[in-house]
Amino acid sequence: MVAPPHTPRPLLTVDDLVVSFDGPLGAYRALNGVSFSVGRGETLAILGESGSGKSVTVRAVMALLPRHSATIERGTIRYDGEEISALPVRRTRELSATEMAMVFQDSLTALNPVVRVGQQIAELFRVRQRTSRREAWRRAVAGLDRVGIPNAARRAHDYPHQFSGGMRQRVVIAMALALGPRLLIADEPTTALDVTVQAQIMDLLRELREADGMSMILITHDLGVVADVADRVAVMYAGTVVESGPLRTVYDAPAHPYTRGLMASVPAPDRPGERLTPIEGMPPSPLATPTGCPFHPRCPVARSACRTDRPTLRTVAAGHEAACHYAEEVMAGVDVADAA
Amino acid sequence: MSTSQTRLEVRQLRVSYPTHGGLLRRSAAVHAVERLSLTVTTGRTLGLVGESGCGKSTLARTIVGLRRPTGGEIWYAGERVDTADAARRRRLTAEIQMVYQDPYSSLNPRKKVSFIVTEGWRVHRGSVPRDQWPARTADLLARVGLAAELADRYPHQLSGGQRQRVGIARALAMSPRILVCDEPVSALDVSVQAQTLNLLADLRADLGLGYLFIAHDLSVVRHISDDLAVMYLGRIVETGPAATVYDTPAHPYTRALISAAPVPRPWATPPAERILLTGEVPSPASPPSGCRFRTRCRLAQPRCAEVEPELRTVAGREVACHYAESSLADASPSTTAVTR
Repeated sequence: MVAPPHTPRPLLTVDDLVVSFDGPLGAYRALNGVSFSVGRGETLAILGESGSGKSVTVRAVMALLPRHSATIERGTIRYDGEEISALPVRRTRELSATEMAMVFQDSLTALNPVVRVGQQIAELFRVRQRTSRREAWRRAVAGLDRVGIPNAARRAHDYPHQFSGGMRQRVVIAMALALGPRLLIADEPTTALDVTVQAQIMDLLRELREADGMSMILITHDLGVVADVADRVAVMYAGTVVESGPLRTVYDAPAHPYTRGLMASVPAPDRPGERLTPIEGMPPSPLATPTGCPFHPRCPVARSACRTDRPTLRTVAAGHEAACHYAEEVMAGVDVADAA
Repeated sequence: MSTSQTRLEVRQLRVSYPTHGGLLRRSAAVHAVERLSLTVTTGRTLGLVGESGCGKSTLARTIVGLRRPTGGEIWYAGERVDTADAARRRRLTAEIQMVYQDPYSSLNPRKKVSFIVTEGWRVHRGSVPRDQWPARTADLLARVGLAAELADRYPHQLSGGQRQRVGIARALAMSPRILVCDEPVSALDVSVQAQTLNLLADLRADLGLGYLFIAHDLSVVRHISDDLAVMYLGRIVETGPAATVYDTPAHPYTRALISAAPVPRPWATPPAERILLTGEVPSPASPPSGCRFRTRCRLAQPRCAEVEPELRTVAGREVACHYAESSLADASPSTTAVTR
């Protein structure tokens, strides 16, 4: 994997983001101080299990949080130097329409079922770029062709349900890329697809990213998908980023016990049948986040300090950050039993 | 083969769905499963992989008696199941239980865990005397690693992993010899998935169960299986010892499937050739003539459109491909590198 080009200012910086929700069971914090950045042309994977807050994070960036129940309590979101979290939602939406784009997991709900797909893409050019009807349609067809839809000129007249799952996800990608965004956010883009189709879509995303020099945030729970495309990875747990760094560093020498636990949970292809080492217990409910380090009840290296002091992200090696009091020991691979 | 082994045998099974409709109200049949044979033996795991629509779930439902086959035979412990009278079939299939994919929708939300687990005893009256139910329920919950007090909870009060354990406990209540597991871990988070896989491995060892383990995740199937079967459009295209099929796949589809599956740490294994399949699985309502895979196969020849290949033994496994030998030879440079 080639190292990302390093430029002084990242395209997107999220700093200490706290988002709370007012739910039927009471108020809770979905995000509890999320920090990460995405460089220009870089692909960042946000890896986490369900409920870790990865989708809430990108929805906050895109100003797509439900207005009545969600509040950004604290923190900043900067896009290209501009603090967008302070902007009115309308302005952010404008920005998110042209500069940032999002691909959702479920392509069927992302598309209007009663409008021809060509029309749905053409509309973007009509509204945002005030092009003529004819020109907008021409660009829509070109966009569908670019994402590998055969007979794009003809298929543009079809409705979403006439496409297979993989082809529909291509339509959604064509729509996201229509206005030439500089940041593409893909939220579990292949989770609903079969393995062979997933490989096609990930290849397509990789190609498009390289051709356009786009930055990308890929949200996924699949460690293999991350390894396939990401330059850097941020691991989320209970509403915070617990570790971030270059892909291989994080995978080969994880500095947070949760990341290490995730790696050990996945069956290794070269050691079939070997007993897996799962993380004990289950992720905490956002309504009852543990004191201190949110991971301490499941952590094999937890000590008394972990129950009271909440660790913050700190640099443990160049470009590698972890939120663990004992990150150095974890990185050195100190055995769980020895530490305990 | 020892005498204590019990076998579930499926011979030339065919399951069809009638389709009605169209302007002329013609009716046709979709053969979801077509002339399929397999054997599940107690103490062993047969892993079955395939993409959505290949018929794997229909097969599972037919084996446990939720659907009637339209052709072929199902044998269990030397007795024919599918043509047996109702009482006999009920007795036979009690020993073949199913674990479902979705622990959210496969448990009745209005019933407590204690009711869900004892459901089979209600159906099979007299199988367990009523005064033993509480004690037996506690045993079952302990067996799957759940605390006894969870018996009084409702499914929504449990986590996904706990619910899946309840589903397993319900299956075990009938003292089965064979478990048909249909995507049992695919709805679970990675760390919980590992716990469940370990539990299934323990149960197989302790109770001598035989598993038909259906999944789309190859790394999971490889991890738990002794034997593998790969399904495509209702038919088995390759089957044999898991190591043989996984390490040196002979069918072009198996090769593509394995090469498309994302690996968590690709740099840790020698680079394998990536085979990208074009297109998606054709509709089972109108499968291609001859070999069903030929429309996506890069080795396809004119003969493949004319003659449907049958399973035949090639290099220690059974494979349904006219050109399995050349497919194997084609793959050999990369596979020798992978073999350790």
